[in-house]
Amino acid sequence: MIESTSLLSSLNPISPVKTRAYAMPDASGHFGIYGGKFVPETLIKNAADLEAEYTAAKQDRVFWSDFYDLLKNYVGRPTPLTFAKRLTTELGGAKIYLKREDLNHTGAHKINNAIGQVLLANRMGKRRIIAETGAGQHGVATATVCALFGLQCIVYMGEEDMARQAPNVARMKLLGAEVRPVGNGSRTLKDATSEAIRDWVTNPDDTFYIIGSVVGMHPYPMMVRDFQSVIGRETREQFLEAEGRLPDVIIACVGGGSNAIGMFHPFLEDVLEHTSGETRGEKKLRLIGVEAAGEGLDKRHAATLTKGRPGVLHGAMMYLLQDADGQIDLAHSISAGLDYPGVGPEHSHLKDLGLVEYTSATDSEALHALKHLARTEGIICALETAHAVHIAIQEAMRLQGSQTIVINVSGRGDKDLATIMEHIDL
Amino acid sequence: MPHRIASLLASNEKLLVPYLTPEFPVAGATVPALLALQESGANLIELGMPHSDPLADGTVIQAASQVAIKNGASLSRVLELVREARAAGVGVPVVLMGYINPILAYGAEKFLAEAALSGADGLIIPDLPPEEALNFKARADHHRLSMIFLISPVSDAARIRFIDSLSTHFSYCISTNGVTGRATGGAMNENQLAFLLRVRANTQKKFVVGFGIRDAVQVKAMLETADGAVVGSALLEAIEAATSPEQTASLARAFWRNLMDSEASALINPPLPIKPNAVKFA
Repeated sequence: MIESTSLLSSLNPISPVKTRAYAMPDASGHFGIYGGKFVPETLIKNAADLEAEYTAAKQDRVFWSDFYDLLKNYVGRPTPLTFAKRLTTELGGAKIYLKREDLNHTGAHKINNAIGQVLLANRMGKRRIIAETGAGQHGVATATVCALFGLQCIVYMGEEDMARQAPNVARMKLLGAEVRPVGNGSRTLKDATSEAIRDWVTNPDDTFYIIGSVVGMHPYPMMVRDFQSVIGRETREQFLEAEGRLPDVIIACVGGGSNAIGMFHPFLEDVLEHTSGETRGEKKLRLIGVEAAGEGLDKRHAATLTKGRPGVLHGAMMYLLQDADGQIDLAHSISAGLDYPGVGPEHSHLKDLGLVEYTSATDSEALHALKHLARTEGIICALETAHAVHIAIQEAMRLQGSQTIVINVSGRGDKDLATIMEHIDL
Repeated sequence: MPHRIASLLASNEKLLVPYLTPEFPVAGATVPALLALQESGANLIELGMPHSDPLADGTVIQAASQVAIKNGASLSRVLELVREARAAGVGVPVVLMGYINPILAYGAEKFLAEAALSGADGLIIPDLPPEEALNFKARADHHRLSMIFLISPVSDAARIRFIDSLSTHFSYCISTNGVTGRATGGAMNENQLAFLLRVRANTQKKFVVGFGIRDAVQVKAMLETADGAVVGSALLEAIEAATSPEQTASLARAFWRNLMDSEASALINPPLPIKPNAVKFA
């Protein structure tokens, strides 16, 4: 199979890919024991059709040139890699760089994936688009690409999330999408996703489901990762240009995990190389995923990889927050985008392999980090991103000035102003 | 000992299958309701294993599952209930329907062994399609649990033949694309008939049909082509107002008799193995 990276347009020239020691998922869509297609029979055909279409699209130069053209001329890629000079100086440790996904059109990394999937929907002739959304960023990204392509758009969103992300609800409506409130279960992302899947089971013929994260049945975790990997590929190239070497630490927040996998995936070969015997003694590149510890790991939280057990939700096997009977626990995070009791199957596998470290930050740590970044760098990041910023601050203070950290600034924080102002005295 | 499902199928009776969420709407309702359904003509019963996130189910079964979980219907409790039902005289085949995560949390092998011991006869797991089920199916075979795989209106002929070959005794056709409990309007539309005929042409084993079947007219229509019909959400709606196990049983009995006491029963040949209330029913 031809990797999408080798078909890249001139927008993102990459260093040659060496032998691929890390090639996941396998042919049946599994990442080790994780992933797969745990879906009702009706969706087996849809998943197979989508996989066939994506496999064909992957080898089609026109598909990728359309994709990169939109990323460049519509989304505004490549996004900058900003040296956080004042934050670095103030902390007195490692040099901190910020990958600026907040500067994308619509304000977050979600648009990268929405562009890729809407191009697939177009290839398949599907005119009705459905999506789930938590923070609303994926809903806005989907509503945006549907407006751009003239497609019907229905977004499922939990009632609790609609209340705390009201500006994004208004944006989706302004873009012509129908936002369907989900009032059952958690009233957040988990049940919004369930409702979107139920919609797809009901309308399998004319509907394309644009999943917003690296979750769901195969091929979604692979496909969303491939579309988001533009983040890591750009970062790798930009960092090499700025520093002449690879970073020491790369940090991203993890809910379902799409911004993190998009950042990490192009560096996995580097991690493996550093881990293998031939370069023993060299510093190891560390990838750190940061989950939401909510009110604390012994209270309500969304730290799936830290506290969960493997199980099946929304079509895939993955780490899950669940009780002893296998019922899914309600997650909690101040950030709607991390408020999910599952996590991508590839993250689950990477945790077991030890290739990525996973840790967590609490609601209040995230709020402090958000304010800190705002006042040192003039960047109001999303509450989701702020979890990564907190861990980056901790790491930076422990590291030497010769060392470097990249934070994936997955989105901007305008959407979170109401929540932030409830908790921070301005 | 012959398998209960094999014996039932050998009798050539049409399968009249209620789906019951256990411990719904009140704790203690399961065994009385199962007895009432058996007495009023159900010859195979689908008993739910409630899950917090039932992806293939509509609002009625979602809500009933939440109530059941609150009422203590964990997987281990459901297995106890099957054992209690057998002891209380439920003799018809019992098929457990539920999602894979609670089974994995319980331990798949432990679950299969204990489900067989408790007196369950088969399993329907809508989020365990054949792609993910091959090892599980081998272990279910070992424990003589009948695996019932689903056939969907989007399944093509090859897929139908594949599922038919994997299902132990019979398959379960989803009457229409969607989740359980959606009213489809009318007894049966042309698409449904074409689908069921396509299934018939591509199966060697029997098949039942379910999803959105709510009344006697629909049951009758489905049974003209299918080997059985499953009624779930409408039954749960009929019992949801009950405040005691006794009332649950009586509402379940009234609902199922009403369903049977119609033209649908004329199709059933040979007559149903009616237990104590045969006279009234006839």
